[in-house]
Amino acid sequence: MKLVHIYKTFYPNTPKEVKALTDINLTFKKGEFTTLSGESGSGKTTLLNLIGGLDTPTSGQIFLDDQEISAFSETQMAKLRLKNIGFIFQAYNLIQVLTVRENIGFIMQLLKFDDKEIDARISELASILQIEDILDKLPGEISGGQQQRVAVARAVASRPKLILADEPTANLDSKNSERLMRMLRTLNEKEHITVIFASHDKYVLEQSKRIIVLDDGVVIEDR
Amino acid sequence: MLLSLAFKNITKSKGRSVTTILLSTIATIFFIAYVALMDGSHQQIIKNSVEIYTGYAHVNLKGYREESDYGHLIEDANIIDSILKNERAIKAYAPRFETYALLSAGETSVGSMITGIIPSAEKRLSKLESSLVRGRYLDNHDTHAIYLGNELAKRLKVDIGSQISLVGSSIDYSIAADLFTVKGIFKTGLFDFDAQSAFVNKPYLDTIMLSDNKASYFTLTFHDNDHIDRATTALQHKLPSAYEAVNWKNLLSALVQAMLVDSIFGYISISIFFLVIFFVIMIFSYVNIYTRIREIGLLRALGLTSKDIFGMLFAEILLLATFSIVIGTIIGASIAYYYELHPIVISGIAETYREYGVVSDEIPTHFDFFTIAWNALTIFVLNLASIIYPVSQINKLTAMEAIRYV
Repeated sequence: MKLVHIYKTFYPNTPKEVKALTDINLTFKKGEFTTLSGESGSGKTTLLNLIGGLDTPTSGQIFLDDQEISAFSETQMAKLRLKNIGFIFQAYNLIQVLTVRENIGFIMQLLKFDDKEIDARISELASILQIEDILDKLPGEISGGQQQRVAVARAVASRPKLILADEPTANLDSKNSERLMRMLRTLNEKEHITVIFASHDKYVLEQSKRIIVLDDGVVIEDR
Repeated sequence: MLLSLAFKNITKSKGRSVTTILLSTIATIFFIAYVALMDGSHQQIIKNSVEIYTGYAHVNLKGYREESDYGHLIEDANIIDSILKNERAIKAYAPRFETYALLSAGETSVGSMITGIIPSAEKRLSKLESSLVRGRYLDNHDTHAIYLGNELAKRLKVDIGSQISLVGSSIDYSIAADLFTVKGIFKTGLFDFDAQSAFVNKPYLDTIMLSDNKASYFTLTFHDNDHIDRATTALQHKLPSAYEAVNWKNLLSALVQAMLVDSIFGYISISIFFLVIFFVIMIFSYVNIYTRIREIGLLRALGLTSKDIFGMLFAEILLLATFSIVIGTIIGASIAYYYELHPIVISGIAETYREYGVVSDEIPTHFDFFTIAWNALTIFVLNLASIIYPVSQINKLTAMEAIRYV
């Protein structure tokens, strides 16, 4: 994935104008395990949303596999997200009316995977993420840590090219944070999925292979 | 998957689903019952007017409707009789001779419509016999017998057995006069009719009016009066060109117009009802959908397109609307059917609306599959249409805006 001269301004040409990102140029290679870091308001979540196509840049181009996705329509972008991108949100964002099993298989169902393949994948991920015993429960019936693991399972189930995780450890205690990062690292290594975090959690930063630091919408460090 | 998600959204959000079902079910019941009542009351008024005296159709000389004078009589009633006798679509028919005369009793005189009828034939064509309140109905051998409306009897201050003199004009415009005895008094409930009408055995009246083998018109009823226009047109083709077949829609054109005006007001009321129902359902859908905006944003973020979201919400309303309209239609249709068999009784309504042909305090509903079907379909379409605006508004938001929406 390649970002070229990305600018993002909220409420442009109004008194409330906010320049969230300024001239961002980044490249992410397949299989990277990267964290976008910085203080609150530095622009890391905005950048993550742009990478995931949840928002559009004010100017600049975003390429995925040489396709300029920043020029995609909303429908094209939705299809791209469905096939290529898995999201892990800070607030888990599970579908409340679906069971854990259905939540994990949701994207695969939409992509019309074979039922047997879906069942096998759910079992595999449930085993890795240690959520076998809650598969038939609703999100409201399980703990926050369990919900976050279900969110991870949902994000990786269809083997997307890219996983974007926005502050995935913010609502977890240290034990669960450690477990989550270990799991994502394992999935990254085993399935070669590119993972990009937006986080300022020290533990997340320690686990990352690459850290991009933002300050006031500008990349100030990339190591 | 989306259909399954829609179904789960319905079953897991019971309060929301029950409220939506109740709204649509009540709207369907109310709409079907309202239209059935409106149609039923109109049909009752028309049926009364047609069946009490006028009849479903007439055959008369062209021009008789415009000028009902002796110059427009059927000169040879036998010709028409032989045509009608061979017309298989006709269930019953009879000639009538209508004229105006002065009826006097004691010191009271009243101008009234005197009609010569074939008493036995009229039993199958009108409700004159069943409207009898005192005395007896006419028979085919009566000579000096007269059958009076109760209001006319009151005006003449006569009762059964009273003598009445008739002075009129025979068809050669000579004076026709005779004495009659009141044999029966009838009450149809149609005030003007009861106040102006008197009936005499036609063969006897013909001897006074010199109208033998003549008639003002033939009244008739078909086996299938539901397709009256088709039947009348078919009959018209068999009549000599000087004659015309006219059905009740033309004979009672003023009443038909009045019903039409009433229907227009009825449909205006229904339109207002539609608008209210539409906005109630739409506002409810709007609130429902906006309370789920975060969930919708999430689905968009996960890769569902605007079309998918519309499809899911459409499937939800489709399932709920189908369920509630089936229930509402069963209940509404049952109400329409029950009150068709057991009409609603509103005491005094006949007295209040008798000038409009209301002769009974009973108001039946009209049970008709086609009407019920379009009523139900209308509510169904309103339900589906009600989500278009809320969904279009939500789909204007990006996935991120929807997730963050407060």
